[in-house]
Amino acid sequence: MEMKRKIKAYLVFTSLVYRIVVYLLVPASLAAIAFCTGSKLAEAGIVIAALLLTLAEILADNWLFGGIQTKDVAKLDYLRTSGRGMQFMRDALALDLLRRMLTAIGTMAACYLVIQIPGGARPRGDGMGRGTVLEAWMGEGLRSVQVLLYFAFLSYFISVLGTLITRFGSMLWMNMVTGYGAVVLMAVVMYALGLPESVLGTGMIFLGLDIIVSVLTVNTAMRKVEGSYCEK
Amino acid sequence: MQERQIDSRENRTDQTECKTKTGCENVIEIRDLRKRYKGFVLSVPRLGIPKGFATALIGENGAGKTTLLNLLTGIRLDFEGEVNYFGRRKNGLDEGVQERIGYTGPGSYFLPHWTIGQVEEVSELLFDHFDKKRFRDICRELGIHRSLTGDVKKLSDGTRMKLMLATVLARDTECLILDEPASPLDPLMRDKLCDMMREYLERGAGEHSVFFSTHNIADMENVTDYAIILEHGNVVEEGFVEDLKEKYILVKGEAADTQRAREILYSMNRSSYGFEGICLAQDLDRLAGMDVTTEIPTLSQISVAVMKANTKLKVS
Amino acid sequence: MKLLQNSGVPIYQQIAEQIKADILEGRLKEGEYLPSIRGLAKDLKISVITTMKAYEQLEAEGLVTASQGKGFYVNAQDSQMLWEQHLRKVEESLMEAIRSARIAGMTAEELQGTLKTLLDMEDIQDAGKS
Repeated sequence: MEMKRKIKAYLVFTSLVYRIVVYLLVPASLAAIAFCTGSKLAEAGIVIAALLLTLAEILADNWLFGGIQTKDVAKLDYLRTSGRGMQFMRDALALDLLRRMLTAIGTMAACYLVIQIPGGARPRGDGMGRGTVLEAWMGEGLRSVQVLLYFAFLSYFISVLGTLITRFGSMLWMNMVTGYGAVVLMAVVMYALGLPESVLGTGMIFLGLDIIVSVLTVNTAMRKVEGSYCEK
Repeated sequence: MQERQIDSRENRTDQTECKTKTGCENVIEIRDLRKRYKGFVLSVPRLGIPKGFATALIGENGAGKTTLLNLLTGIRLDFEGEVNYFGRRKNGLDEGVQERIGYTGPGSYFLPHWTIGQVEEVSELLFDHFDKKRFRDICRELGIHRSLTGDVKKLSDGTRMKLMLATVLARDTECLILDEPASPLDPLMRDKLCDMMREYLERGAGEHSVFFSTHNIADMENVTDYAIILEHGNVVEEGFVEDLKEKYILVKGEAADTQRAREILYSMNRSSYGFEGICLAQDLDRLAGMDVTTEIPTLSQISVAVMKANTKLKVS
Repeated sequence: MKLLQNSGVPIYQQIAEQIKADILEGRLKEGEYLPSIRGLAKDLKISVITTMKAYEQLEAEGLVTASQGKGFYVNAQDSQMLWEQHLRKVEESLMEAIRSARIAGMTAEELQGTLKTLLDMEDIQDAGKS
């Protein structure tokens, strides 16, 4: 019941634009991009989708709570008149990050699946088909799931890190610069690590970083909100 | 023009002396409240908002009205001092108290992207006793079309005010704290606002209180039971309106007496034909020998006089 | 109830007078409750404190009694007391007239003559009505 209320609070707090963007537009367009690039070069579909997802999440944060996070927090008078307003706010911020993680995993999975559509069910190891390129790179079964999670965790880490930074300012250009910077950073990380031997272990390290950066981001945002109870 | 400065503390209607039997209990009690700003200090050593009445907070722009209301409603938290609600011993706000208080404020109140439907859903989540049906009834009564799908930020100031009123009136509260509720409203709606406030007081049968700030004293006079006048962060006058109307008196006189009367009057408007001003009823006999007529002043006349006597603005 | 905003008579007094008239003329009966303070304020579109003051004045005059939590009810009216109250009012008004007459320099005979003339006029008016 309590969880249901929190989820409902999260949903009604967020703006319609934001919801349309993060639930529909971003996953659908990334899947479409993955489909197009993946039909020529399977692994590129995944990599490009992961990069663009990072960028999209950082930019979309501008619309979260109607831009409340990046602009000014002095719009919360109504929430403040309720004893639980601020708790709902914190929960909503946390739930949004959970949503972001699920979006990352879901988008990666969707991209992986659409890339395989053109080939249909392909024979294994004939060395030529698209499906086999993908499999040679990602493996199959459990291994492919691990690779997808690795990309999702990496993308999440970079995008939340970027959000943490953009929320300090209020300028759109700052958002853009951080967004592009995050993409570059992510590209560098992917270049440096390649596809690691132990994709599961590296993925877990990123998951750990994800948790740390999430806590940091929620706390920073709440400190900013709570600080506005006092300034002036 | 030099006004006679009157030590306001000395002349204030004594709080402990309750002229009305039921007016002794306070819904909010403030003690030694201090809040420092860059320019001034809001300092309220002792103030009570009487329970069961409508109390008006009057004062110049920048006198500290909004700050005081923000401190009472939890919009701002940084202040020294004690605030007790609903006769509780415990100091300060908590969820239980906030549940019993309805606040409407100026400026950004709702998240800007909310639609009216979202305001309704959020209200249900934020407060235990939000009555959806009552909210819809009030919206209809106030002419807020729920079909308005646009964002709250696109609503006119008047409509947004009405929407705020609908959200607080749809709840089971015991105290409404309204920051400038009349300002964005048209004359018809101001009248309606007064009616709604009286209805709220009646519904509570002495348990409901309203505390509102206003510049539109004349429009709100017939709903104001208690008045608090704030200047430069200090309460310079307070009391039940009926008592204030006995304490002060409106004097009109001939031009010839202007000089002498100025010594006695609290504040004065003069013209070549004569003067008009407010004086303390106790000083009335000092006007003996002058050709003056007296009237019961309105609350706005009293307020303007008290504000003039205390302002740092150069007004004549 | 008719209230005049700028008559010079305070609103609470106008309310008290009208309720008093209702009681003295029997429209409000013994034991009957007056409308609630806040209900009357709402109906008359005036502030609560004004109706409260009116009721308190009536209470001070002994016409009504406040009962805890239930409002004000009409007292049994002592007809002797009522008569005395009326008499006091007549005396007050006449005193006022006497003061004005002094200022105008009227003699006692002139004043009595004026009173008589007024009474006659009143009689003629009443006769005309019936």
